[in-house]
Amino acid sequence: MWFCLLFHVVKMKHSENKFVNLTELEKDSISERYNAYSKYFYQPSEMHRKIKDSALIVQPNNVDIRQVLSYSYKKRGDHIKAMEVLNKAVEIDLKNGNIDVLQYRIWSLLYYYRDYKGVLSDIKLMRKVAGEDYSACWGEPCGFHEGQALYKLERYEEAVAAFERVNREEQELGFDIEDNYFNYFYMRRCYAKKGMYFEAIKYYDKALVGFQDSPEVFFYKALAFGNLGDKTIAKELLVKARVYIVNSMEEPYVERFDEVFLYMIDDELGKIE
Amino acid sequence: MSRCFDGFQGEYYHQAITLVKGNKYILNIVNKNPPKTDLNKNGYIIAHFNISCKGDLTDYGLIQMDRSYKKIRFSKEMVKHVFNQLSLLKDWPVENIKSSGGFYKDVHGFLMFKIENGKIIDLCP
Repeated sequence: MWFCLLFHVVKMKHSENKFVNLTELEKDSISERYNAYSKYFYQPSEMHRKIKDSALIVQPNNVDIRQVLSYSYKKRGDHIKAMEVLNKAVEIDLKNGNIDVLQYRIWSLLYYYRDYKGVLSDIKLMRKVAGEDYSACWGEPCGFHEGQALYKLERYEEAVAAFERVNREEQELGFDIEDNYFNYFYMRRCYAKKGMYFEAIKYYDKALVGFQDSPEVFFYKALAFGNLGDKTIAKELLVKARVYIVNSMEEPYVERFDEVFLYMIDDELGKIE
Repeated sequence: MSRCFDGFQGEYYHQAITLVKGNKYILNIVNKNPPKTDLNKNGYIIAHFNISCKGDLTDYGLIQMDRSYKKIRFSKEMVKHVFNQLSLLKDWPVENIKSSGGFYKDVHGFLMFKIENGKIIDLCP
């Protein structure tokens, strides 16, 4: 039965919208029904997307459905459609005075599209709309994303300031910043890139408080000691990095910046030995 | 070379089916002798492929887009170069495909190469 309804909706895609005379409540109800049906199908599948499309024909301004539809395209690697759908969702959400979808786009631009200038531009827009308060962009502080974007743009001092701001804000909110592993990790990457190896080592140690067996911290700390001429400590740390490589910062969807892989450790060990 | 199973394909993120040496390694491979044909072009070349249970790449696909996420075309030389270099990659974690318990035997993956002034500068996922 529902399949017939779906067929009807897909078929009328290019003709008159027959739902136009329904009340918002009725349109919401039908749209949510289609949305629920779409969840019976595997998210990256074409059927999932087609039924989500039907939901959007009925209620085109539903940003939640539109945002999830963008995930489906993204997971399949169809990034033209993914961004077309996501950008439309951001536009609608902003018109409603909301920044939720924009925050997801910030995450996407950073980790997927490596569009660092786009991240900074969206963060500026977010702060213009919602103010300067601490906020999260898809599970991580938006300021942390800002810091990473600045780091990748080689604007290291501004990046450090962004990471410090996150720590400061989280402290004010009562969070335990000592375990803020990633924030300290990228802060020390900034110092290392600037050749400030003593500062880098300090923040490596801070990062280790949050994640004691991090191969990334051992690896980059080893490089810092190597740059300071201490090959003995560098080698010890590289051996540790090798031991703990199973704990690398592996993420399911994307590769984090400066993730360490076994061949990189072996290459560095080879240079020392 | 072919797929191991004509039915359901897994996705790269199910069992971390990405190259075991990571993106920096891939970038080094792909940046060996790139053609100088797209010096004024910016955007992304997205290479799609199937990773078979034997670790072979098959079923290639291609999406090209600009920095505004609209369709674009890079030169045939650049596209050919990317796929030729991609075909050299051998370190796919086939054992992770097996860990799906037979639920799937092939995995759909893609690599999105970011191009700036004709140079391949970044990569995701």
